[in-house]
Amino acid sequence: MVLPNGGEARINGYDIEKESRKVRESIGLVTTDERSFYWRLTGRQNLEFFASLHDFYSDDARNMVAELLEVVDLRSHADERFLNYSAGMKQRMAIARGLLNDPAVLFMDEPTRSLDPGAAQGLRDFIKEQIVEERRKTLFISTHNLEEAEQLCDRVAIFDDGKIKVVGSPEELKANLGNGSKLSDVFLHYSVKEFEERGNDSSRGLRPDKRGFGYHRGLGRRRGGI
Amino acid sequence: MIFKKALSFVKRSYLAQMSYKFEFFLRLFFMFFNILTYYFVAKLIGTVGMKYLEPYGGDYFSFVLIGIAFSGYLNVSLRGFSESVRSEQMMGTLEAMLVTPTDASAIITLSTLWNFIFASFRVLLYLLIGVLLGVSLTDANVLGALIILVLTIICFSSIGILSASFIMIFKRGDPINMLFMSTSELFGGVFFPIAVLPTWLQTVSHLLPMTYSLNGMRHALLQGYSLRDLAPDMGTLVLFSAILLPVSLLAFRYAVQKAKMEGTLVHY
Repeated sequence: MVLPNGGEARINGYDIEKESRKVRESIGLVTTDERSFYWRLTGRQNLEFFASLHDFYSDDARNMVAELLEVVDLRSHADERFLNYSAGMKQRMAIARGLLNDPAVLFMDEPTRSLDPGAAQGLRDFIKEQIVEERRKTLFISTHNLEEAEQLCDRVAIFDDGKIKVVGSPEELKANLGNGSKLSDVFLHYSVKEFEERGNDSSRGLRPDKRGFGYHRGLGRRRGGI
Repeated sequence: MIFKKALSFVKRSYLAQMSYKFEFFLRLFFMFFNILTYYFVAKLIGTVGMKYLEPYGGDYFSFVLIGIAFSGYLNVSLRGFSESVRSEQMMGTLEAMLVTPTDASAIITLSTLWNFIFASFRVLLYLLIGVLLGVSLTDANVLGALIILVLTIICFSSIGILSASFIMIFKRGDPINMLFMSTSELFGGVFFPIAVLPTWLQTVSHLLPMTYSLNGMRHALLQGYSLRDLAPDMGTLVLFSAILLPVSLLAFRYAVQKAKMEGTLVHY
């Protein structure tokens, strides 16, 4: 969907520019945008349509969709219209769609956004047990929820202003900042450094937190994430 | 495989459309009113425009029925591609489709299939109601009409794809759509024969595919012209298609590439 203006990237060994189709065959996308489904169609009809975009038709598509609906525990609601689904059900539908082509790599964008804490934890457990441990998928998760990143990720990259600031396991990243550090401290450390260097003036929006790291009042509006 | 994929797009659109049954039947109902309006206008006109209508059999109602029925294809072709891009962008479904192995061009093209099927259904209904109101299609050259129809769809769709390329980049404000929509009904001979226009304005008519499409269709359906007699209109439509189709496909490829470079493919 987006071409690089420089450099190169590979997914599952395929060049994203030269082997675009192979790349698309290798990936699945789980987006939190619940509008990405046809609301007037049922869950099953939605999945069967998206299966056809992966070149699965008729019985193949029907069987696969039935299996995935079972996996995400939506079998009993499969023939209800998508518009009647709860936020959690919509999210599980997005996961089922992401798994339609049995991808090697699954991209998840804010998988638990808009879910209540209980449903969010349930989904995180599902991701870990069913998708990572059972199906052995490689997952890329973008999230602003640091607790979630810590629970789900083996490696974490902190983005700020569209650039990767640091990469490592949660333990490594926290250890670099000293004992008792949390992933949120790591995030703040790397994302506000730029402000400190640029402004060098705590009165212009920066104030130190209790650990002595700079904290920016407007941080929530900046393009940062994990 | 493409047939199965096309079928699944049609099924999706059909299910979505049928979930709004009331709107569906309302559209059909008011289509009948539209036809009746022209039926009574034709009664009022009588034989006044006979001089201009002679080449098409002399009856205004038959003339305008073919005009409004088949101009529907122009609407679908011109708007269908750009509207399907825009509607999938706005619904939020485009992103989820574009990460699949199905190409962007196939997604856009197949998304318009239902519109063409619905337009064909409307044409059939127009003709059926027309026959009930006295239009004679007994001499119709059906094969000739079908060939003209296929050429018309290729030709108009090329313009539609060109139009979608603009939408892909500029999101709104598409000059191709505006240009052809505003000129085709006036100069293309939908409501009146182009012979009514001053000679210098007829030049504009001769630059529009709509003119040849409707001319050929009327001659095939109302006058039963043979394939040989229809050859000039068919040939011109082939020429338009030969120029417009490759240009539109190149433009679309460029537009998709540019939108991908700028990361705006799913923006609206």
